[in-house]
Amino acid sequence: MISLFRIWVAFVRRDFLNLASYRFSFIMGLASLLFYLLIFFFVGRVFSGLGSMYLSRYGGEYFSFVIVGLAMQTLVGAGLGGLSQVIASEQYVGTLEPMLGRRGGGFRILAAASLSRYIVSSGRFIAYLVLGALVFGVSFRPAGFPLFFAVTALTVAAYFGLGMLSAAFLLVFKQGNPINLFFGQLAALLSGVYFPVEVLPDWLRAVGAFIPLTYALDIGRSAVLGGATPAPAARPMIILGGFAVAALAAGGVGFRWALARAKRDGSLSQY
Amino acid sequence: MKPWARRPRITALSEVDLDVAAGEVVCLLGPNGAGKTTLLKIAAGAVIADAGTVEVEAASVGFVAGGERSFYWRLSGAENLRFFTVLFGIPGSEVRARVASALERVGLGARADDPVRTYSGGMRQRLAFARALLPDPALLLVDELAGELDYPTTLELARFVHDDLVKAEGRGALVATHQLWLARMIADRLVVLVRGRVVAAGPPAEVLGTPTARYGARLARLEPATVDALGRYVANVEVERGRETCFVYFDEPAEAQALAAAFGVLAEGGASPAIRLPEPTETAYLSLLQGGAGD
Repeated sequence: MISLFRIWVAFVRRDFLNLASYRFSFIMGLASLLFYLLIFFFVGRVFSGLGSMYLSRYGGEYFSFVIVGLAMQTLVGAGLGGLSQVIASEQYVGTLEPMLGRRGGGFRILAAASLSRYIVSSGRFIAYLVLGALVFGVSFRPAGFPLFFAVTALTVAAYFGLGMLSAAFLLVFKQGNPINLFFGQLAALLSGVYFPVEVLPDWLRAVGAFIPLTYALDIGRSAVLGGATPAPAARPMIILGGFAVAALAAGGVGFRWALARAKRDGSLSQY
Repeated sequence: MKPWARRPRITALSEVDLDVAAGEVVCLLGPNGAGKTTLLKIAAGAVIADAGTVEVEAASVGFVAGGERSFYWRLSGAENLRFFTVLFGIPGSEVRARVASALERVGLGARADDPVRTYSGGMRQRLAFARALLPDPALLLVDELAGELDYPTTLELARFVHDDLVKAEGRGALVATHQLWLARMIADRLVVLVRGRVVAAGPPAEVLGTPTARYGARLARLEPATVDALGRYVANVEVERGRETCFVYFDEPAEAQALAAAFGVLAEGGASPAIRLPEPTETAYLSLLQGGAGD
């Protein structure tokens, strides 16, 4: 059996060579990230010093609040859309069948391919936090980082599972993906990436409780931005862990089934 | 049909039973939609059949997919192959040698480090062969060998498959093609598929018939004496009378002297130089397809 690590390295190497062939891509990507942060930095200055009750749990500064949300969202995006993007991209380029056109190994190859997407998103994740601290003066609480990274790991696992479910939809229905809509676009609204969920009406907050990112952001922000005594994290951590286990199990089963189905009806390379 | 209506199931292949031995080229012929590509993909493992079995005794299978857009165009030929060696499970210690060898074999050694986007269509097809050769396959599956390649490139690849890969190295090859001349040239056996069923199988001469060349010539005026004289040297003389000119057709005789004599008769009758007509195997093939379509 082919080593998952070796496949992952092959995809990382291929993506790096591909990226390197577009000379300005990396620099432009970094510039775009910086501009994006600047927008939120200046938006944050509008609310600076107003002492919003909604932000008090997270240190009171909007920019600090949003930068953690943006960092976490970039990893979530890689998990949720990574596998679908790999499949769609290989379908478009025409390499999906040569890649999987052998008996067995399809699931491992695609799973490893989607993991390679975390390289870029991890870079962005770190860039958000480092630029936030060094360039924009965000004050993180160092003691909270172990919990923050533990939450991040659980979130990545949960969204990797959801990403497999999303890819299963792509393989079967090709277009129109409810998983991406709910856990991606709707999550940006309901989970508190850009604003505290406390501003939402109760019924919308209830919907947000079904999104793992809601818990991840709450625990993560509380850990690195909260006061001396962060909010208790045990219960939301257990819920997040439950999400991760359920999503990985459902995603694994769903994606394997969809892949076999696409191979049976010959629609693997269709998009 | 309503856009949300369930699409009817199509049986792509039915009761197909064929084998490919080592050192043998089997060509799959058939019209578009006959199931040739599906059959190859099933054999390769890219498509799973609802029923039936594919037994591959060969240690590995190499699949040359149709079309040339199956590479990363911004990467070099060597980098593309290096990537696929991992997916094919080739040990890391062998990657460099296998990639170099595969590229050399298809004549791309000198262009190994150039981006695929700078390759011609023929070079990309050769790169597809190099990729298929990476696992050193005992069975080669080729979906449309000719594709959109020009005649010399197609001929070169056909000889490479037949002479080098199959006859010299003892691999088996299952090749789908629309080109009758190509199938006749490289196939030990032909399998004709129509609507997913095998309508004919066997050696090319058996399936398509032995080609008998026909000649044709144009005359301003055809005298009965000319036809009689022609009949003494060649068989199946056929006359087609137009308003201003006539055409006369006949089979190529076995002996060159008889052909020369027939040309002499035509020249005396004032005919244009006789020309060799297309081989009649196409007619045999078309009748096979029509027969299969009527099932």
